[in-house]
Amino acid sequence: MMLENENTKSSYFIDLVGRIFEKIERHEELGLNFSGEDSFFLRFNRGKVRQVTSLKQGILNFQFVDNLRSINYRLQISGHWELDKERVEEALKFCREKAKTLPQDPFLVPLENHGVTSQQFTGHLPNVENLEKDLFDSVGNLDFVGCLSMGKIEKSTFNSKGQAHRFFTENFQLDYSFYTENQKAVKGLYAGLDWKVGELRDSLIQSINDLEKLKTPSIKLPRGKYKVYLAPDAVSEIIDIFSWGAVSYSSLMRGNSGLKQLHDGERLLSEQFSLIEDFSLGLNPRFNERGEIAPEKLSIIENGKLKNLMVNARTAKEYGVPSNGASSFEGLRSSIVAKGNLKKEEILSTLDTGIYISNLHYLNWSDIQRGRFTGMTRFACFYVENGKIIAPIEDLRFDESLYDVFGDNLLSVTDFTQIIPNVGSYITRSLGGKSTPGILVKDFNFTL
Amino acid sequence: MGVDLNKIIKNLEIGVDWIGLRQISETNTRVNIRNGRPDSNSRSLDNGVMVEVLKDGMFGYAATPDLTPEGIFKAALLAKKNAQTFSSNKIYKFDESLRPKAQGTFTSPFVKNFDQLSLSELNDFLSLCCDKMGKRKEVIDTLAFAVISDIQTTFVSSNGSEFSSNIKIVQHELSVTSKKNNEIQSRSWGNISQCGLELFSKEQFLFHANRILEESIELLEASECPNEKMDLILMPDQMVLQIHESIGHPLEMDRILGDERNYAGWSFIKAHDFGKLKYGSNLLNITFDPSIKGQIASYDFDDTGTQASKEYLIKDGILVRGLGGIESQLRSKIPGVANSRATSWNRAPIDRMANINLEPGKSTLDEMVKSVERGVIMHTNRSWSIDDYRNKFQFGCEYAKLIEDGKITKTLKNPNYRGITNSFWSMLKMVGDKSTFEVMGTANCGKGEPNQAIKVGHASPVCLFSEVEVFGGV
Repeated sequence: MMLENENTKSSYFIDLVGRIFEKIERHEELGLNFSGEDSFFLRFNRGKVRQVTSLKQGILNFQFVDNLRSINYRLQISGHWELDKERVEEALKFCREKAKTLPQDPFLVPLENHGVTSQQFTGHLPNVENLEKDLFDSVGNLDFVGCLSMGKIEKSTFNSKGQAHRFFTENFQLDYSFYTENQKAVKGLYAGLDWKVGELRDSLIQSINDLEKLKTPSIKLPRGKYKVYLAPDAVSEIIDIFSWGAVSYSSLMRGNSGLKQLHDGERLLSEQFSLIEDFSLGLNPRFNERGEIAPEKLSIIENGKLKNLMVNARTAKEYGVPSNGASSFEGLRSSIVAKGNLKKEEILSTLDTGIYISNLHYLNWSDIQRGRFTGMTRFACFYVENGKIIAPIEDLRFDESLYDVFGDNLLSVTDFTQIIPNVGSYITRSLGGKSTPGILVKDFNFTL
Repeated sequence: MGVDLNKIIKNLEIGVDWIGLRQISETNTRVNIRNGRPDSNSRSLDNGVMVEVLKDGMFGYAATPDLTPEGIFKAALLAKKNAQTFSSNKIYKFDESLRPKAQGTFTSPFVKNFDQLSLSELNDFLSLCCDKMGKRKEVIDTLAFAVISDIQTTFVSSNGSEFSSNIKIVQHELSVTSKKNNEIQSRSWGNISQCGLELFSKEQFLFHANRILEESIELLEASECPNEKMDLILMPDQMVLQIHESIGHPLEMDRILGDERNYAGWSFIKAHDFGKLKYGSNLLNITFDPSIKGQIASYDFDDTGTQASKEYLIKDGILVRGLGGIESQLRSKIPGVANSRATSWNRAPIDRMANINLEPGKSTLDEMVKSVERGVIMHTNRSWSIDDYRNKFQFGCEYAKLIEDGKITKTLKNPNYRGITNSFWSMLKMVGDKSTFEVMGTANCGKGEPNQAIKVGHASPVCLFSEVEVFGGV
């Protein structure tokens, strides 16, 4: 099958790639990207199982290039050469016939051999038969809701110039929440390669203990400016929107970047804020869709100063700047926000009076030109007075500028970070993630 | 590959109470033209089968792109195992009545078939639009894209269901960004519909290309939107978003039942609100309408085989029905609709919006403007955010006009507004007539674990709201 471990059985995908490249003519170039998964999803609500789905899929993307004309063709492969042969031949025929009719693309970057690499992370996943016991025994009658996703993921990119990069991982992500009767919740995540029942129970018990703090009746705070502590999950939500047109060089040039004022020197960020694309987290392969290897570390913002934006090969050619191996999307794939000095045990006392925010929700740019964004508080957020948690809060809407949150209003950054894997699964299960600290911010602007 | 699902299902004797096979074959052709030059040309071909079985009162799922009888048999065994393994801790005991026998064929309307425009002709057409949008020196970027989709679905089941749909879809968008000194503004125009290539009217596309170009230039010199409570007229291309976020999502019954709380969120609506809650003013009438020809989410049967029909969700301002498919209706005892939908063959169906429309009223746009002493008209969504209970929202638009003493006086930039769902809809003061009604849709509504992005439709007239908190940029 398409996702078999190379150590145990020969890979169907490798055979397929070989057969496809045999069909390429001398004047043609072909890149092949493969995204495969063998996944299991267990969805539950109120501690009961709602839906269970197994999924095998393998998406093969052709990047066909001939005489400065390019066309992409994506198809689902079945794992049977007899069936896939027909699909592959149809794809190549389409690409050849249509590419000839298209205008030349002045920013097309020819394919190159960016080398051969292979990374394999083999995990120990739980036996499906034991999951009910593992997951639900320790939570009793608690209102437990979420989804377990697990299985094998492969991302590979080959091309007709000889390039071959493969990345294989076998992982799990238990993304869950516990709810109280008064509709407040604690969010949790147990993720990794090796499923250990003891670690799982520790994670669940920690969340259950945190739930106690939410049983106090919520208080409704008036809108206004508050001192806040944004926990690592909340900071991660903010960093996510940097990938929606802030760190992309192309977005900047096209007039759609939240970092334009920083780039133009009109606004400054705090020396305490550093953002680095860092693949040493091991959550994502360094190669992009073209097989280019990104630097292991690329400083985006260093002590408040803009150092680099994400530049892919196409953008580089269009604007005459060097590429740094960014993906076609020019977003962050594996980012780190640098630590500071604030100790965990000093968070509440340093916050003194304000709001402890565990999670944020549904962020979006409200005025991207000025780096302004809006969103909501979510899950376990508390009003804190004189360094003591008083009560959970009713959710608040904020409208803020990244130049304030990561600028003059940034008071301190924690001396620890949390790794937050990407749990998204649109089309296929995602890779990547980030490592973020918590931050203390003054005058955070709540508007509703 | 031709797959005879009927033959396969007859040979699938695996000891389950019910089994269904849903095959989806989807072809998408996408052309992106930037600044008159090809940015990308692509085609995708997706094909696979979802096997769904009922065993011991639980539905189990397994999806495979392996369309051989052996491949589908293996998936069926896996689906059975999934149901059996977890049936002792299932959320509800389902039975075969949840998969009614459904037969028929749905074909979306089209005039011009997809083979009547070549890829190079589509490149030329969109390049022409870019050229039109790039005519002024202030323009820094233009984009024209189109996605042409052909989706064929076949569903067969062990209790005799056999239905199929053949749906043709065209999605298109034009956008232009202009700059003067430090001011950057964008305008866009687009839609997604069930239709054929007749959509590509040169006259219409060039008209809109020119309109959004001129409006983007106009915005460069426009005043900032004021910060005050005032009347607000929303055009259909913003009403789409308003309906989607503050009516569609909170009415989804799987949210109300709590299934979505870990990801998309819950709802401020409770089961006991149905038939009682005053959701908005008496002018608010919202329907689930799968019967509008050409609207993106029109269909005969949902993915459980339930027959779809037009139903009122909100009637004269009162919440009467939820957006829940047959399983959610049984679990919640709330009346629902046929909206169990999966984004493709590789996902299980969940409660989704389909076509969720606001029914026309009696006012003309001119009457609305004349009735406003001080207010704003907003066009085209550019920013959206709402909480996980679907209460506190903040939306921004691309373009606005100020109304003073019943007259449109000037253009405004960076228009935004915020509010709370229930109180906002209660301030619905006038609803546009059919002359203001537009049928629209969106290609990517995200929800579900595992995640699913699905196409949903919204149609709406122009609407006037009073006492809304409106604001501009910094």
